[in-house]
Amino acid sequence: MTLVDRLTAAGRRWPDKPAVASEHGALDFRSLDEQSDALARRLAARGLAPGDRVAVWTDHAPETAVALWAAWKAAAIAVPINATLGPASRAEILADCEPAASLLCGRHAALGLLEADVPHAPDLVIRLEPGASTAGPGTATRVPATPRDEDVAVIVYTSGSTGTPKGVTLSHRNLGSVVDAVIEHVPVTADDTYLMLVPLHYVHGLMQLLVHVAAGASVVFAGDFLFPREIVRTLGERRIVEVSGTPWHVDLLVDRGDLLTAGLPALRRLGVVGGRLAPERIAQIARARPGLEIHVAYGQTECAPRATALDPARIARKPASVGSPIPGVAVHVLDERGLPVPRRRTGEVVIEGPNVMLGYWRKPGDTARVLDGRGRLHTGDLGWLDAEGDLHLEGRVDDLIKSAGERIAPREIERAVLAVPGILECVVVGVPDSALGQRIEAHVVLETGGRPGTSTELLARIQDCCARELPLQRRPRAVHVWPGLPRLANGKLDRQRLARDRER
Amino acid sequence: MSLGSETGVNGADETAQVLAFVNARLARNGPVEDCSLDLMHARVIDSMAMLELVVWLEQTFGLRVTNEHLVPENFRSVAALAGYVRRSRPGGCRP
Repeated sequence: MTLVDRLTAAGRRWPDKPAVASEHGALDFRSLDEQSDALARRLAARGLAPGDRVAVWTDHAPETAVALWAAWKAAAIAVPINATLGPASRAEILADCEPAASLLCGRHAALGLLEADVPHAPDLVIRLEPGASTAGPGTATRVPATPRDEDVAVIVYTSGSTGTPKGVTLSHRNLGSVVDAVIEHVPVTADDTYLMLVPLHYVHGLMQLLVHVAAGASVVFAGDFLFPREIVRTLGERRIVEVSGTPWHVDLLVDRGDLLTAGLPALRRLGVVGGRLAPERIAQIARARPGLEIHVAYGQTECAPRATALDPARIARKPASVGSPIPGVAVHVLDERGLPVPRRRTGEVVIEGPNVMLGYWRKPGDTARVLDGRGRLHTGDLGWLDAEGDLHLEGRVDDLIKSAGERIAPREIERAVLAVPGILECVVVGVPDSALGQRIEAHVVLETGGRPGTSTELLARIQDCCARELPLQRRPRAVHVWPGLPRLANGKLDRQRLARDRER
Repeated sequence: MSLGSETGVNGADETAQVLAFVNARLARNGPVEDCSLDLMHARVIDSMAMLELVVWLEQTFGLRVTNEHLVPENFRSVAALAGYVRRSRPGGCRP
């Protein structure tokens, strides 16, 4: 059952129900189906062929859904474009995927594109104005080709740690398998209304759109995530049942949007992806809104993107777990030889199932590095499974410190350092060392602020405290004090700056 | 002491400073020239940019952007931002 079939089925079953809405208007399921049909025919009439790429300039607008389904109905591949990337990054992505058409959604329809953003015939730039007809002149009656389950539905670009964008190719089957699993395990019903906070060029947003359309639920686009109080007001006015985002979104909704004191009787589910909520935050939400289920999930773009989900009833007991595999998916924890490790032992998280991507677009070398001969995805994440089969993440394989012949997960050391009184934050890294291979150094933020620099007095204190927890070779050899740890724009730690500034 | 608190209280200063910050740090597709341009519609301010902007406003002008202040009316354009700064900075006049 392709993504096209899922919309068609929803259109027949709930024709007059709102499918997608924003402050500028709404489309019911019948209109979404009909408008995407018309646009698909228009694209085909202008020469778009099956398998061609369609750049979808996404915005928080119902037309983005029209654009996506139009591409699929033409048996083409949708490539959601992140317009907040700089012109050079966009050019790199467009050169890689070579789109044959560009669909401009929401504000892009009014703003238009830079010349460099249109690497194809200009008559295949189509502006989807809100409320306007998508059929347009030159509409053929010819029905475009029908996609198959195994065809590529989307290419989602991820920046990757190297900085070169890689296109993750996901098939109709990949995304459909996650849609079915999420509807089943959450569960999502046709009575739900979901508030979309994240842009649709992120695979989490794309997946949530597909899930809610397939379930006959409604999706409301919140717009850019700028004013948390406005978002919380929308939660109330639209009687939103579920909202999801990263811990960063949740923190802002609570701290800046007063989420926990607002009157939101319909809100039942808070989804958290892409990181870990602080245990204090989880406890705070549970105290203030005991009826609100926190749904923590884990995955990667490369697995469409969901692999595991935590039963909300377990979060109080296991605030650090990302849960067990969703239906149809298996999670393995393997050592460096590819053999399973015993329960509770840390290894690389490897995912097997219908959600695992086809590969990276035109990058067979990169694909071979993450997909093994059995089609399993080697995530590069470290983790361990507990007795109930719930997964706990322990950082990245790349962050593993190889010291004195051992492979050491930084988090184990960080936990020990954080137990030292006065230390607010800690990150440990491996630094090249002629004797040890790598030696362990700690970067910390002190509760009192503290003077930036390297502290031998503090190091002695840390080594004393860690002596109980850690064998000698796992104790930090140096400690660097920061006023605040350097972070990237996405909130993740800037490990390159940690390493660079240490050397200075 | 921040740069902002050393400058005068007339409107041109705030407008010029806000415009300079927006163009130096936030504008990706060419500089903003029109101080009444809707920054949200033109996609100049996204969610990460908003956080940077809030931190910069607080540090530069010594004000505190409360949850109540974090609304589109104060952030929609360079002119709106400058007006917000004038009303909210210590010693500034409130409407």
